[in-house]
Amino acid sequence: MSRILTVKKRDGGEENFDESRISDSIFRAASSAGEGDREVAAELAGVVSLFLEKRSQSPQVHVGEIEDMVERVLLETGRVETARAYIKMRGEGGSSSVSEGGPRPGELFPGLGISVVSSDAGALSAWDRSKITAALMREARLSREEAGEIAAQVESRIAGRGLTRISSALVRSLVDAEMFDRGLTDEIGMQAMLGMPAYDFKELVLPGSKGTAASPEEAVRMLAGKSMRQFAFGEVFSGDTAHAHADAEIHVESASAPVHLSEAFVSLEYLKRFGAFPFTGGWEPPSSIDGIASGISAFAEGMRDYFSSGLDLGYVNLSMAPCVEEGGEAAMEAAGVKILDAVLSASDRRGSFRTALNISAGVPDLLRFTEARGLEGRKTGRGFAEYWTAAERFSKALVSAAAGARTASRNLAEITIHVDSNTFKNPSALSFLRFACRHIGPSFAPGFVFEHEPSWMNLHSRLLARTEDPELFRNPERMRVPLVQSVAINAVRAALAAGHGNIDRFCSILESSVSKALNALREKKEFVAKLSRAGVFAGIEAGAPDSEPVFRIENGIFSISLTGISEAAGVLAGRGDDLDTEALKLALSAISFLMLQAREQAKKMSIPLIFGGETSPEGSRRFASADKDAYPSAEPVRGAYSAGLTACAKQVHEMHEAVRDLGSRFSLVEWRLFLSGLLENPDNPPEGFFDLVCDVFENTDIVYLRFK
Amino acid sequence: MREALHFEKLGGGKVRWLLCPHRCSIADGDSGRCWARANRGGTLFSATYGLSTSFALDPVEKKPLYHFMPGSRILSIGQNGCNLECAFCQNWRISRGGAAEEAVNPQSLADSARKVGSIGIAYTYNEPLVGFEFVKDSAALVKKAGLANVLVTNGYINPGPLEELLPFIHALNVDIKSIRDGFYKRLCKASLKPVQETLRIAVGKAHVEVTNLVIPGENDKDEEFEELADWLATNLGPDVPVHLSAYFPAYKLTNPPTPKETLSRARSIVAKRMKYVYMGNIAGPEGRDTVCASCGKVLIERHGYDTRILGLKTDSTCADCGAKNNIILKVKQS
Repeated sequence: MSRILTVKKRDGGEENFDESRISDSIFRAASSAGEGDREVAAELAGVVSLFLEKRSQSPQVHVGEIEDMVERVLLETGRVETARAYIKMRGEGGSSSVSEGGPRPGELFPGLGISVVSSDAGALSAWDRSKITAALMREARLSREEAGEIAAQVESRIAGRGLTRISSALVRSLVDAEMFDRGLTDEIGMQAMLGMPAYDFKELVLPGSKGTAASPEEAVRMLAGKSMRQFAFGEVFSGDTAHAHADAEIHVESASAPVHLSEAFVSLEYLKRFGAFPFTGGWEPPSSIDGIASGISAFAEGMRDYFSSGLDLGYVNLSMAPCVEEGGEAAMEAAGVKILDAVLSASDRRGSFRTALNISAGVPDLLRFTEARGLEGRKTGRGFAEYWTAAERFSKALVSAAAGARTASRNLAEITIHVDSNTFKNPSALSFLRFACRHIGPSFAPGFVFEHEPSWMNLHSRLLARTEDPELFRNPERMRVPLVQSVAINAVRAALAAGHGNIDRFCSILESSVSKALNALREKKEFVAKLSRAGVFAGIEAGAPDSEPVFRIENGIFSISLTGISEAAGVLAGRGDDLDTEALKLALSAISFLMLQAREQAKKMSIPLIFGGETSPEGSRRFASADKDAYPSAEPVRGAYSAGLTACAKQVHEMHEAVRDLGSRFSLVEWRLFLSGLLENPDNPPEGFFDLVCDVFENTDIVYLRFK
Repeated sequence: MREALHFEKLGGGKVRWLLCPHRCSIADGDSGRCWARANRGGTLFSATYGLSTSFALDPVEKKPLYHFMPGSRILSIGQNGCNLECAFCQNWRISRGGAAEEAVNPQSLADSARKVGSIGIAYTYNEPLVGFEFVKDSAALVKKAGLANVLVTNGYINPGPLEELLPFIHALNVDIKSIRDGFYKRLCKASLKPVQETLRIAVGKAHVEVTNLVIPGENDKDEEFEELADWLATNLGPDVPVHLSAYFPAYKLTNPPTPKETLSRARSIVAKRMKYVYMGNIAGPEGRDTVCASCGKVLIERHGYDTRILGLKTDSTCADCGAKNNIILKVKQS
């Protein structure tokens, strides 16, 4: 006889406990679910009684407790359909939910005598079905009931194999299979495991396999990158973004670093005042050139923990001027080498993180009267305008050092020269520009930023971010801007899909791609905000000594770039003798309009947007490769698309023509131009590059010119 | 109470029960580990003689016996007591000797069987052999009445008493709980060998079917099923029906119930050596019907306890190929 003697009914009455009534109700539920079997129902009723007895301290149980226990026993013995039918029956009779005090899934049968081998830590733990239930509720956001049902089914399958050990990876696969059978495909993605198949892993790591990493460190980095990429497209970005990326319609840059920000601009003034804070114990203004150089190295090293692509140091020549003013030519040259060495050594030799420096050809208006600081952060009592002479000398020292840095093991120095109208008003600034252009060659390929309007204030960085905040120029150490995410758009794909001359269709496709790119940026913005709230960026959101956060991530900027405009134009308008000038003009105007439209759209989405210049080599290669697969009969494309608008010529005079031609066709948007094919041609006149730079500034809307 | 058979007196008022392989030494006033004996003043009595805890008219398939008078019903009686202490006992309330009892005598038992249309009496629910004297007396009367006696037993009895009882028994279902002695020692506080001996003796003298309760994590490894099948085929022959039964948590053992997949796997292994392998305590058609081992024709179809004989001649051979399938349709009275 059962130790449970009586049952408290819902109406407050009592009746004798009768196991056969439980058996009958289970049998009815099982029959309606097509699983009816009296013998099994009786056995299950026995199980219900058993657990009621084990859990109850009293000889009386409430009818709800019995019903809870029946549900639990049915679910945990894998009789999901019968459980559903029972719950329905129960609902019709009154209560329909498991009471709070009732047993939780996995409580009845926590162990199967099976050890689970964790695939990551190699640890052993006892089988516990409730862990699956909890994980499904937490990761896939399933209800307790559904999670419990899945866990019970998986346990039933595992228990049926007579195993003593099972890997957690296999358990997860079985859970996925059960979820798939139930049509929970989205939820599978939510709780998907990140990693890679063992075969791929071996291919990466073991000697003699294809794609073997060059070193153990590289193998680790590649493995982490692959997992992170899975995480990015499973958790950070939506399915639509992931599909657009996979289809090579857009390219989410640095997808293997989704938890990182992209790139940062920091004025060298910051480092002069605060050293490498917050990556050093405290903050101390450097007292020597060596101190500034080591501060650059330490700061860049710390930045790699948070930024995936790079660090731009701004106003390097103007900032250094008060510190090197007193030195002679030799001291100036030595300082140039030290700073350049610090910048080069701060770049990741594998190329994923680059440190670049920006120098200005002249003093921008908004900085002219800003009081400069020297070593140890001391104010000098003089405005930057008074330091141009020293700045020019240091700029030349830097360019000379860069042009002479021919060691094969080093990256080419990434130097960007900023040009504005003041450059042309100041003979000394123009002299420096001429000097820099004379040094252009295979070992020195600078970029040029053209600041056509004072209000653009491109922060003297490759980011080309605008600001109209005069406070930043009064305190240039506050110029520290994070670029959060970049997305590239495949212009060639849109052109190939539209076909020759079909501008309307091209616009329509591109509009859709722009929208997807902006959505990707929004998704990253939301994710970064979540990370920020969780304190992931606490190390760089901490207050700097000037009481401002080192980086105010909520004000971070975002970028989209258009890849392969030149190739797209070729598809739409033809080339050479087949060039349809009218079609080309229409296409380029359409692109201009779309990009402006994107900027407006971004404003509505509260995304501070810039038009990024360079698609990563990975992105442009991926686009080209995918388009080759998708359009095998299209005109063969090279291995990679051009980063933006590329003009290709061997002679400078041809380039002039190309620039003017393009300049007349582009308007409305600040374009970027990449010139290739020129650097190694010895026939170009010495003044050719200087003339070209001047031509671009004076006659086009191009904001960025880079020799490749 | 009635004085027990098969005991010897030890010194100091103690007795030893010789029927059971445990060979308990029982002090005066004690009952022995089976709760079915009683030493009263140096004499051993059967404490449960004439006392029943449960009566039911069950389908014979419930015992389970699938090859013995299929589709019939049998009056089943249970008493208190058992000489095994299985942690997973489904009937622990009676096997541990605590259930309420009603008086019954062997003659009335035989009479009742006839009155309710039973094919005989099944001694079941608890371990009937611990009520040896009552079973023997009843079985003699039942047999005399032209009815059948069925033992559903753990087989834990010494050969002598078993041989003494078997002439009255028509069919047995013997539990072989595991083919590993360690299982018996750990979970049943007993040993395997006496059970194997019982099976060897019984198989030539009565219809025998075997049940193996499959418990996840305890006796459900492939090699255990292979060993079991090997032993059964070698010692009892491949014609003995085998019931692989699903376990449900009970008494002290709360391992999860046996998944269907486990039973299927077990069945496929055991069926390599044994001709008739069934699955029990589990819903669904798999392992339920009796199929001719020779031609594959379905001989007996089962839905729960609804049994239909389809392809058998009256002499219990296959209607299609004439093969014998170790099926008994009628009790032979000798």
